[in-house]
Amino acid sequence: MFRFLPIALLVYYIVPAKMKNLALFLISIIFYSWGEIRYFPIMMACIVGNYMLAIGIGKTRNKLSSKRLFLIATILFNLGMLFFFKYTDFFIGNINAVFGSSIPILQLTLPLGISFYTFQTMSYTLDVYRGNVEPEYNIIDLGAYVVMFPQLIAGPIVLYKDVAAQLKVKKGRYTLSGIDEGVGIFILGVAKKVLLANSIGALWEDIKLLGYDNISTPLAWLGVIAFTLQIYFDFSGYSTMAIGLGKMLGFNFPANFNLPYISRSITDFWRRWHMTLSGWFREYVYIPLGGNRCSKPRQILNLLIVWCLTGFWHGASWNFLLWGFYYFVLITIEKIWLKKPLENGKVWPHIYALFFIVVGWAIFAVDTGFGDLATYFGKLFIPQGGTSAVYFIRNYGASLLLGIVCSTPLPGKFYNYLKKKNTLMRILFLAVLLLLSVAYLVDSTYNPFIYFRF
Amino acid sequence: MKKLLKYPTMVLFFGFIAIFMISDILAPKREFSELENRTLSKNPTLTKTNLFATQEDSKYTYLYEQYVNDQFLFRDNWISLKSKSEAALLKTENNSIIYGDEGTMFQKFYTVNDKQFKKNTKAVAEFMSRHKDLVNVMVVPSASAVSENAPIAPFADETEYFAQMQIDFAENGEFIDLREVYNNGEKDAYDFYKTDHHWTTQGAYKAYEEYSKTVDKGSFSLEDYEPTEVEGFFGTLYSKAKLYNAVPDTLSYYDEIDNKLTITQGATKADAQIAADAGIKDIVVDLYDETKLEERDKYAAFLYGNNGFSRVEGDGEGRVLVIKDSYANAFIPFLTADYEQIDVIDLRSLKTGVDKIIEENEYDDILVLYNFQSFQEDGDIVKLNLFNG
Repeated sequence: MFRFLPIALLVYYIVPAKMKNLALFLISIIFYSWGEIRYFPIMMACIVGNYMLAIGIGKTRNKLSSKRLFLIATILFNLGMLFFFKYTDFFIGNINAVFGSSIPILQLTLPLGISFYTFQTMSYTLDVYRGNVEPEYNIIDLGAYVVMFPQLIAGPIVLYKDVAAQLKVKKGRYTLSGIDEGVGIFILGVAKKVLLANSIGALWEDIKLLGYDNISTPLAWLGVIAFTLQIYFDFSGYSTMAIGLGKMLGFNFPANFNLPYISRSITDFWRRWHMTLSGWFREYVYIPLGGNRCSKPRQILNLLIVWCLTGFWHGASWNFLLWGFYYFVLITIEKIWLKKPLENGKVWPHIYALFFIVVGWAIFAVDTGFGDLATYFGKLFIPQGGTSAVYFIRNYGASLLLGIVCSTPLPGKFYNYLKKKNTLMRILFLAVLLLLSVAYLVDSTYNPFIYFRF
Repeated sequence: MKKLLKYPTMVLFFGFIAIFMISDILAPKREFSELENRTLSKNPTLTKTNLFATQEDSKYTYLYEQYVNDQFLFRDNWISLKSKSEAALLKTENNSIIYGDEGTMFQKFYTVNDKQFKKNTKAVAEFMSRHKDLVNVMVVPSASAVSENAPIAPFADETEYFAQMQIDFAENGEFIDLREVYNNGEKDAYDFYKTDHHWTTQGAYKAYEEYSKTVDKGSFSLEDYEPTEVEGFFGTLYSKAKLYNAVPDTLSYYDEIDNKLTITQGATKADAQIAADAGIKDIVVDLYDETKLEERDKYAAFLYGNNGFSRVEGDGEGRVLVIKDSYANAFIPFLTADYEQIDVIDLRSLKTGVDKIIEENEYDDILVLYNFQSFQEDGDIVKLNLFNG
């Protein structure tokens, strides 16, 4: 943060307006290669490939058959890359398990952010196919969109059509007030990640250390509640940082989270959680499949497809598929008969939604096989003794409470109030958060990002 | 300019990170952190190997980040700010160190490495069966398992492991169970340092008393000696936790013990000859390295740290061999009153077979002394049965 960010922003701000996209492209490429230089060619292939495919689609707009061909190539190219790096080992492993064969697994390291950027590039070429956007002939502009560093690694998934216009604005892309707002948002994001997610997340690490076999039922619940909070602040922290940085650069990224834990139903939750991902699936999978405008059984099949894919997107492992299926079941039930009662309820819909969300995170968090998952569910639902939760409540209690409070609309209201009424207080508030975050980063031994795996 | 001033948040933020970055780059670099008791990373040189390294921790970018983090301007102040903020959040641990009552700190020791523990008990039992009725084993329980000041955190239960050792080591020798000695219910017992993972000299003496009962010795009486006390000892646990209001320990030692310690270059006669031929001399020093008492890690004053093979001249009779981890460093000075020759082996840095050494020296007693936490994870204990052919 104290090397890359200042230099990157300085370069970006001082280069002439015409070169902004080139600067952004180069800065982002350096940022991307910093994590792992060997991914650089993959990224380049992704950009060049989609660049050419989109132009191909554009050129054949009036010839349906060859346009289709390009479409198939696009899907094969992007998903192929994603599948190769992310899912090959999973399939080999399962084939080996089923047929008793011993195909060696490849043990590829997952290129950073590949799940995010392949979805972004796909959105671009698919939109060109549908005629929603024009193909981009300037490869630098397209490249700047694909690798734009704020959201490259952890989303939000920004659709090309959302930023295309802004990429073409060269002069006056950003305003001082936009930058000012972006700084505030960025700091809030850092604080969410560093102060809340990391300090709560250590609890789940403790539980893994103790072993799922040894914990008591209260501790099992405390652990999964901690995970629930951790994954939210972790992921939404990164998204908030990206949105803040985007504003500093002069882009308006879509919001990715909208207080998901105040949802009144599971359907509602998925309108508030990782909104750009569910939006992507809605737009490019669910609606093309027919969405809601078809028979009930077909609708349910569509939902099944979308939710299994959503689960699978999160990781090449059975528990993520199960997690997706779990949401398919819940959402289908809500669609068929729970919708009305949920709308009429006052308090119980919140409790209902939270309960299933938290249980869902247990499926998500225990990713070491169904045996462990069964053990964990046994711990959750069959009251039993084991390592007591008392010490953990004492150690993490205040952080958990803080996390719960920060999952409500209160902090947002507070910040907006400061923004409107009291500049000095806003500065002080942000300064305290920033200083504390730096302190936590300096003395950190534990700084994971759960969504890096995706 | 006026326009800029309308956005003080932005100006302050950019001003802060810019000024901080520049001063951070210009500030003199430190080699060693007293607070954390460790060498800090240096600016790595970019090479082809580290640029394309596959191992995360040998990558250039990783090393560079490590360097920036280690050399971060006002690093110690930032660490202390975090510690205060954690205290405000009522946290009772930091970086795997858990705080107990009376300023005590404990390693976060939740699970035992069962596999290594089994390997090690098997190795020791095998070693004992080759040296029947010669070997005594002492394993010091973790402070967290016996201290009255330990918090209610789910520390590993060591009971079953001690019971197991009791059985495994009884056949051909003796297992000296120290748990009762420390599990005395006293809040102000000072058997273990508050801020260090070792036992105190007082704690080591209690073990010495138990050991003396077993081998029928015990000439070292506390009445005959006046301890020298060194205050202001912030140990290894503190170096990790970096608690802003930690209470330092007092380390005591007996500087009247002026026996000589020889750090030998070859543990067996053959090895010694090779070393002598090569012109490498043994190092003869005092039992205590008093220069270490000025430094941060004061426990290192005992026995000059952990050497592969060293010999202490004693004032008593007979010979003893101690096979040990760093806990024994505070314990061995007491043995000078009982034995004429005290040989000390640290398996982590020993390169010869233990049996050869035993053959050449005809020991009257052999003592295996570890603390439980290092015993259950030490991969070098199996060396007891290696290189003996």
